[in-house]
Amino acid sequence: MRFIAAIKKECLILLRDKAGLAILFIMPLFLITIMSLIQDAPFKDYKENKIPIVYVDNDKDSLGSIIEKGLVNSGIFSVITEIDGTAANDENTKQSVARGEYRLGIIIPEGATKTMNKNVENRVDKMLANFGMAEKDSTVFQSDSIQLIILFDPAAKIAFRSSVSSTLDKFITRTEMETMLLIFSQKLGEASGIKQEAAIESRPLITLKEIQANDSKVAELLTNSVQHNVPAWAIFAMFYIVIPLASSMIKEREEGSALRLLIIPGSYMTCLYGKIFIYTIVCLIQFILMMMVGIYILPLLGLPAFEIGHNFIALVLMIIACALAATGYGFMVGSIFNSHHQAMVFGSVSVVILSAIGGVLVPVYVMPGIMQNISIISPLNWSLNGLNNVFLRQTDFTALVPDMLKLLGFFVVMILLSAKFNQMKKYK
Amino acid sequence: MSAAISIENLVHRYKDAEQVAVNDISLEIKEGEIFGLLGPNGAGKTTTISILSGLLKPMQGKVTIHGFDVTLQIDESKKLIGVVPQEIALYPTLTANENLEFFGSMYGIQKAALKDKIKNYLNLFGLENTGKKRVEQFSGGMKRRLNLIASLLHDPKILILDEPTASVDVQSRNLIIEFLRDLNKKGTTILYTSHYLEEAENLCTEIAIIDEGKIVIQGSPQQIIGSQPGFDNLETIFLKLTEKKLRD
Repeated sequence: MRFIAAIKKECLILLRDKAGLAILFIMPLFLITIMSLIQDAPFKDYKENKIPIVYVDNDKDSLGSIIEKGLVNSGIFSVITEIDGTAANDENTKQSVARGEYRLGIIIPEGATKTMNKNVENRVDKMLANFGMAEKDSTVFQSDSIQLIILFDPAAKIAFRSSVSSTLDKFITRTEMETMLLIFSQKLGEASGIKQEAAIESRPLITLKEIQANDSKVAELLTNSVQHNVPAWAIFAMFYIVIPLASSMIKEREEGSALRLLIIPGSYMTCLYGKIFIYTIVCLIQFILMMMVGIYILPLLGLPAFEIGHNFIALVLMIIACALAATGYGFMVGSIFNSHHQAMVFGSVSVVILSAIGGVLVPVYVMPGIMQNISIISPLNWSLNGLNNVFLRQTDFTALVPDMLKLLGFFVVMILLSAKFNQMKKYK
Repeated sequence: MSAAISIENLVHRYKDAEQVAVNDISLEIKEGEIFGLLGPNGAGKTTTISILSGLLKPMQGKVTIHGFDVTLQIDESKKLIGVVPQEIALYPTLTANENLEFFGSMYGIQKAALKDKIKNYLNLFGLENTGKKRVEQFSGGMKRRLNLIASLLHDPKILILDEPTASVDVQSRNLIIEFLRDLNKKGTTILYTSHYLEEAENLCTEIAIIDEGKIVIQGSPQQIIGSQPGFDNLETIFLKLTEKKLRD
C-alpha cells in the first residue's frame, strides 16, 4: 500500500510537471527525427546519394561517350552537362568547381578517341610483328598521351579525391583494355584471313562479392541513418532522464517533503523505490514512443522505416536493463548534488560525453582506435551494442547477456552509491 | 508522570563547525506536558529536535522517547512522534487531499480511516473547501495549518513543533495555539519551539531557555519569572539571560 501510494504520488507530480514531461517525451522525439534527417545523407551509400559531376566532352567521339556512359552506369555519379542553362565547357566548369558549386568536373580533350585508337593500333601492330604475324615497321612511333582533366573543389577532402580518382581510373583502364582487345581481334582476323569479327567478352573475369558476416539481410541496415539514430537517441533520451529525476529528488529535499519522509519510519526508502519504478517505466514508454516514431513517422519524411527485429523477449529484457541503468544514473546524480544547477550541468554534460564516447553521436566503428577502446566504459555503449545485437545482428539471447549484466551491475553500483550519499546527507 | 522524552548529556557538533551546536544538555519532558524550548537563533533548538526526530545522530549522550532509544530503536521511537518542521514539508504541486493521503499512507493508515481523519482535520483548521486545491496556491497561514495536519494523521503520542506559528497571521496563530491546548488536554505531549515568548509563556507548562547549546534556565513560566527578581515577564528574562547581542 505504501509502495502504491509512493507510485501514485510520483505519477501525479510527474504529470503536473509540464516542463519535465517535455524533456522526457517531446524533446527526444524531435531529437530523433532531426538527427535521423541530418545524418541521412552521410549514412546513405553512394548508390542512394549520387555525386554530381560536370562532364565536358570535347572529344565528341566514342571515348567521350563511353566514359559518359560509364559514369552514368556506375551509379556513383550524376552527370551534369549544363551549367546555368549553358553547355558545360572548360571555362565555366573550372569556375563553378572553383566556387564550390560542384565538387567535381571532368574534361575529355578534343581528339581523345582518335589518339587512343592510334596508340592502341600501333601497340597491337608491334605485338603482332613480334610474333611474325605482321610486317615490322622501321619507323619509331611516338605515342601521344591523352590527358583527361579532373577538377576538384578545393575544399574536397583527400579521401574523397582519391576515391573518385580510383573509380574513374578503374573504368578508363577497362575502356582502354576493351578497345585494345577489339583492335587486337580485328588485326588478328586480318592476319589469319578470317573475315568474321571476334566477339569481345567484356564481362570482368574476377569480381568482388560483399557478404555480411552474419549472412543476414537485416545486417544491411547497419549503414542506415534511421537504424543507427533511433536506438542511439532513444538511449540518449533514456539517460537524459538524469535531469528530471535528479531535479525531482533535489526539489523534494529543498521543499522539505524529503525531511517529512525521513521522519516517517521506512517511508523514505519506499518513496525512492517508487521513484525508481516510475522513472524506469518512463524510460520504457520513451523507448516505445521513439520506436513508433522510427517505424511510422520517419518514413513519412522520406526516411526508411525502422526495423525492430523479431526477438521481442530479448528486446524487452534489453530495454529494461537500459532503463534501470539510466534510472540508476539519474538517482546517483540526484543524490550527490545539492542544487538543481549543479545537477543539471553535471547531468547533461556527463550524458553528452558518455553518449559521444558510447557511439550515439557517431558509430563507434568510425571512431579513432583510442576512442573505440574508451567507448567500452560507457553504459550508453553497452546499451547501444546490446540493442544493435537485437535489431541488426539478430543474435540469440546469450549474446546479450554480457551487455545486460554490465547494465544491471551499473544500476546496482549507482543505487549503492546513492544510498551512501543519501546516508551522508542525512547524518551530516 | 513518566518521562515522554529523556535527554541525557546530549552533545552534537556539525561537521566542520567550530562550536558545538548542543553542549551537554540534559532534560526530561513528562507525559502530558507542553514543553517550550526557547532560545535565540543558533541556540541549538532545531539540532535538538532533529536528534529527537532521528534526522541527526548525536555525537554523545542518550535520548529516549517513551523508553525507546532514538539511535538504537529508531523506528519504534519515530512511530510515537509527530514532527512539524520549521519549513513547509509538503508537495506544492499536489492538492491538500493528495498530500495528506500520501503522508497518511506512508504511516500505514487504512484508506477509509484516513479519509475521515483528513476530512475532520481540514474542517477543524478551516481548510474544508481547499482539499482539492494545490498547496502552491495556498497562503502562508494555510500552508502552516496543513503542515501541522500532516504531522497529526497517525495520532502521535508526542507532537514536536519547530516554530509552528512563524510567519502566520494572528488568526492562524490563534487557531494553532488553541488546537495545541485541546490536543494536550486529550493527552498528547507537546514539545514546542518559538520566538514568540508571550505565546510560550501562555501556552507552556514547562520551559527551558537554551543558548549556545546549553540550558540556561528551566522551570514553569511562573517559576522562571519568580526566580528573577525585578522581572515580570519571560521576554525580559530571556534578554537578560541570553544577552542583547545579535545572533546569526
